[in-house]
Amino acid sequence: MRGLGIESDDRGASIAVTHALTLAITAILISTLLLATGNFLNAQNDDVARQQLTDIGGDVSSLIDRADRLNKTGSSVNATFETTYTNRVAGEPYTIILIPDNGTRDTEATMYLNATALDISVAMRVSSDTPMIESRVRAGNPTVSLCNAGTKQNLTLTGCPR
Amino acid sequence: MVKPDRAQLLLIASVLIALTIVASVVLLNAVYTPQTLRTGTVNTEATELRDTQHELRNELREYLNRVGIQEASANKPDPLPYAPDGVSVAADMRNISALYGNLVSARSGATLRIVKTGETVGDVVFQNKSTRTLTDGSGNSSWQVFSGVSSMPRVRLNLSDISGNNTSVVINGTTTSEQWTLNISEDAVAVNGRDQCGIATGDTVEAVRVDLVDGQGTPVVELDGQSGQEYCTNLTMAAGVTAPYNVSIDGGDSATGRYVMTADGSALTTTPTGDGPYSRTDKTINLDFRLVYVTTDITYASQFSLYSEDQR
Repeated sequence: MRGLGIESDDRGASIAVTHALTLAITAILISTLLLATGNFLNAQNDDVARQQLTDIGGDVSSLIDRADRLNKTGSSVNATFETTYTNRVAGEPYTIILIPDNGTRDTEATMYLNATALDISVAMRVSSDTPMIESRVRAGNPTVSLCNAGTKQNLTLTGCPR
Repeated sequence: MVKPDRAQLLLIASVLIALTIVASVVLLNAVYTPQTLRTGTVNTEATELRDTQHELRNELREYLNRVGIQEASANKPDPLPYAPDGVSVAADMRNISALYGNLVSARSGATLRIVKTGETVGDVVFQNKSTRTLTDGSGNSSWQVFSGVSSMPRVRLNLSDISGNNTSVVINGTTTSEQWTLNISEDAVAVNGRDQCGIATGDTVEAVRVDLVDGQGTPVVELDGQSGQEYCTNLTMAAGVTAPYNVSIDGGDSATGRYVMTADGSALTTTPTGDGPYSRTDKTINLDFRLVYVTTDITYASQFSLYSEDQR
């Protein structure tokens, strides 16, 4: 007579069936997990890259604001902020572009942070009292500058011309 | 013979493998986090730069005030600060710059260099007796203090009493429509188009202080032990008026107290008397500086004037 406990229950415990079931279940589990996590990781990668670009853009925007305020501290002001950001986001290079609304020089502008390899672009509006000029810098170390050009003051991401 | 618990062990093992994969995915996700941005330093240094410049400007102004007081003290018992002689200032400016540069360097590691690059020579008019009305040397209560002023760095009124409604400092521009007026009144009657400083009807003005530095200022009214509504507003001197302009006092016999005004390149219209107002010509009324401030992340250079209408 069979006992009631699991120790005495030997149904389905043949070697062939056990191996087949184990391998099948393991294979299904692993392949499902790999497929699901692969997609999840890709999405996570994009989110992280976008978040990182947003952080960098926000910080550059804040430095533009600081440089703008320094313009009120004197005449013929030249101020340069040396920044050190990561050269890559999610392992890919990126570009920061400042495009004034009104062509090449305006107090309203849009800043784009593009990671082309990831097909990700982050745009943010920037506003200042001092006109910004069009500038483009490739990753890493934009030099946020307030430059005196004759009677004009300009904000740029590429440093003041010497 | 087949052991009955072998199948369960294999299943448990496969579940453990699956959990390991899930755990590794979670850990891998943790690796993909944004790097911490090293921006705190730049922001801190930028704030420190602004603070330093503000502090330095106040320090230099304070120095000029002290020198002005000393110079005035030699002649008058109740002096007001006014711009000192430019020649005596130059050497002290160099010392202040050197000392302040060392102070900033020791405090924050920044390199600061400040050089006096120029000065504005002009005229000073002041009346330093608190019991005297704001009349000119001949007893006129409405009179022109300066004419043809191209910039006016400073006006200071320290009035001990107001007895009427129409004591005003008037600044006229090049066209007749350009006029800015600071009206100081005991009873704040509506005066269209004028900056006002006064109190409600029935209250008595104890004192009025107006110090228009950098073209801007906040008047302060003290009441004679009574509560009353103040009508003083933040002032922007000569708002809407373009230089050159003339500076006048109207109805000065309604106000009692001290004042000082400085202006560049002006034609004085006062006649000094024994009681004032007094005038000084060819005095240094403003100084220009070049400031360079360098840290590891910030390079800053600018020109600024100690007193300027646009606060630069």
